[in-house]
Amino acid sequence: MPKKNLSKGFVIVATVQKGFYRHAKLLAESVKDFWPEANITFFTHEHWVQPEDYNLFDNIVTEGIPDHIRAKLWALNKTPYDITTYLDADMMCEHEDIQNVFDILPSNKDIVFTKNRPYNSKLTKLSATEEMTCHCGFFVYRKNKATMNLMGAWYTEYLKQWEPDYDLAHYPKDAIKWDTFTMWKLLTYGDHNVKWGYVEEPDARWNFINGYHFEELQGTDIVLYHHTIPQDQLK
Amino acid sequence: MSEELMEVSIDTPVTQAEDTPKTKKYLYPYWSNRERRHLIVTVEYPNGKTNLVSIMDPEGTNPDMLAVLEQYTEEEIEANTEEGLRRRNENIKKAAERRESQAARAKQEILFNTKLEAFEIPAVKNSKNVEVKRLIRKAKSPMEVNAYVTIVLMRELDNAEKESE
Repeated sequence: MPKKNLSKGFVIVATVQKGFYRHAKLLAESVKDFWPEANITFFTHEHWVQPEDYNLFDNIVTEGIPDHIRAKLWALNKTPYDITTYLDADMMCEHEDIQNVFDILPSNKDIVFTKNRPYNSKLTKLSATEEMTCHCGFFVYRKNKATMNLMGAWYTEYLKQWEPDYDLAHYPKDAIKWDTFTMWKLLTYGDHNVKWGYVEEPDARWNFINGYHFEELQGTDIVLYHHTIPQDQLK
Repeated sequence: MSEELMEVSIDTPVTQAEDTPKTKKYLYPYWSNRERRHLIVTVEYPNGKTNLVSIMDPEGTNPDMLAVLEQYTEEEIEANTEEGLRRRNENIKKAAERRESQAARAKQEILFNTKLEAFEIPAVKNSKNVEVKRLIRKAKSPMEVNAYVTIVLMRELDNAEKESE
């Protein structure tokens, strides 16, 4: 039986603060500089969209997008691609190996994450035995029922996390604001049967967070650099 | 204001008032030097407040030192000392890692912002010279960014000159 050609593309989301929109476009431009044929779907607010944006993105989704800082969680199960690479808007492409990004998802996995580095993270350890190990600013995932359900639950569970009667149990109060915490709970205690894993080392090159040690690259080049947009550039 | 007298039954049992005064507690004592003459201990006072206290006792008469040595065995103080040393070394290591990480972050931010500024120059942003634009994106130092930006600008100027001829 001939192998079906799977559609592959990137999803970028920018909402609430216009700085995210500007940086999302810079990110898309950087991806296109190394891979002009890359498919990119952009989820953003309609009133921000400029006509020239359609030259950059092959798909712009504005309908129904929530005015929420974690609108990314809403967008993830609306990907038009069979295999999607989600990119935080505050990333930048620095290498042509971006064309191989979809190969980092093995055929026996539904989703792969890069690992959190505790030395460079605000919160990873939740208790003596529990630790959030997946970085949720970049991941590659497959469109199937289990993964789409997981993504849907990610958004609804994150919203629940903010409700006043949410039972935080023994976890640190700071965990509430992190979508990483929601995903960690879903993967650890949920029943979504998603086959998840980590990106093979040197995983840091696919999501090199500002502050990572260069040794993490193991002699390779950064493909995607992940910075933090300064507060004054967000408006 | 009227005063009411409380009635007490004749059968009410009377107990002796506690005459032992509440004393301070000594917690987690450990040696602060190799000679084992300088003790650090957390003192908890009857009002619940705590204080980290340093006890030196060259003459062997300090009541706090005597009280600690009476309450704790040598092995217990040694174990606390080992644990304290382990924590101290761990904190030093973590602080060094944090400093290293902060330095790396600052350096990376400078490089990243230089790249952003480069692409804010219209001639660079709109240049069709993808090869050099890629080199700017890959650059590993601000100097390298500046060098490639100069190349792009020179080529753009050349193109503009040719077009005007």
